[in-house]
Amino acid sequence: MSNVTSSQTIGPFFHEALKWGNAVGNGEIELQGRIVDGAGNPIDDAMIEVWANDVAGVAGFGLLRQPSDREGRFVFRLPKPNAGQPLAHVCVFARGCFNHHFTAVFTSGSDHPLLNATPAARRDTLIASANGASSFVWTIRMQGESETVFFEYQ
Amino acid sequence: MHFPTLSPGERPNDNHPPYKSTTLRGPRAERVIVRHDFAATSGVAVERSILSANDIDLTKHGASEPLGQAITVSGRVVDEDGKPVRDSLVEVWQCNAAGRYAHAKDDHDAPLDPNFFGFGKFLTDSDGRYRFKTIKPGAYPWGNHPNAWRPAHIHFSLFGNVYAQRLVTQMYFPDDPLFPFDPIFNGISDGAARNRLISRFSLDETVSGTSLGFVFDIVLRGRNATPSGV
Ligand SMILES: [Fe+2]
Repeated sequence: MSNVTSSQTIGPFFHEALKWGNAVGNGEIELQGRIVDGAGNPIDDAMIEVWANDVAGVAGFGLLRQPSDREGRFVFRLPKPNAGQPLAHVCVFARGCFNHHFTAVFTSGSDHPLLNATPAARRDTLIASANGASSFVWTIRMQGESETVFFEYQ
Repeated sequence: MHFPTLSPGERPNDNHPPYKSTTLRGPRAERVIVRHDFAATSGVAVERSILSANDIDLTKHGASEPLGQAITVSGRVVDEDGKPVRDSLVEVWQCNAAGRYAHAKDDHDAPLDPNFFGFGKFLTDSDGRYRFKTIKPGAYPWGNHPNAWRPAHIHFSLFGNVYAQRLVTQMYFPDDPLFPFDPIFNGISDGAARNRLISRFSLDETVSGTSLGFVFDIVLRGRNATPSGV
């Protein structure tokens, strides 16, 4: 047993307090995201953070964040990643989630320690699909057959 | 820096049926355990320009003083070795004294306070300490089960010094009669871990004639941070 402070849900009422830090980014890659629950319904009150080197978030470090909209959608404009690297490290918060969930989003063909640590059958959940030359589509599924892989960092 | 595994009792179960919204939102698969430099080294160096003078005084956001019991909340943010988490960003938000959030989706039929919005942010100091002034939030009802009320709480968002230290939690107040009935508080099955989310009253932090003092110390994950912190 450690003495770590336990997590509690972000709840539904964070938007006004956290919006000072909302940022989409200005990179050349557009990530069109969506977050859904175990029934496939959009989660309309999540907060999605993306962490990436080389993005200038409003707080001065590599953080961008957006609340999901009524359809569970969110958009980020990210810098083009170096070969094999993720588009972004991601942290997901929502009402109904006691804990935040770390994940990451890659383009196809990436070779990366986070992908290699992921069981082969589930790697697809971390791959955004191309939608034109500089646009990618990715769905975060909190449950179900294609539940997104979430990481526990050691 | 590394992050020892949390015990099941101190991390709430992602699927906790008494908190109904977890049923479709809590992941079911085990987390994939991995060690990766990004989580332990991506620096969270915050520009001080994001801070405004009144971000640490939530009673100063309206034309006059808000209604309610004025309080200060202070404490120290450390890692699992007890070392201060310095210069790290903390965001707080809460409802007003009547239990109503200044938020479009809050339909609780309690009055808004034109002088209280309930948003703050600040950096910890070089010893990991923080302090802000606000009013004591009220309890509020929610739809989870019949006659469900949340114990009074303040939401905290902490960035630590690296990505894997991220934490969002809630601070509670001593002796709240609603504790036994709240499935969010009780989602932490270990009693000692649960009680660490309860602030303590401090006469030392109480300002004579002005505000009651509550102390809430926070331990973020992580051991063996480099001495320089960030
Ligand atoms: Fe709340």
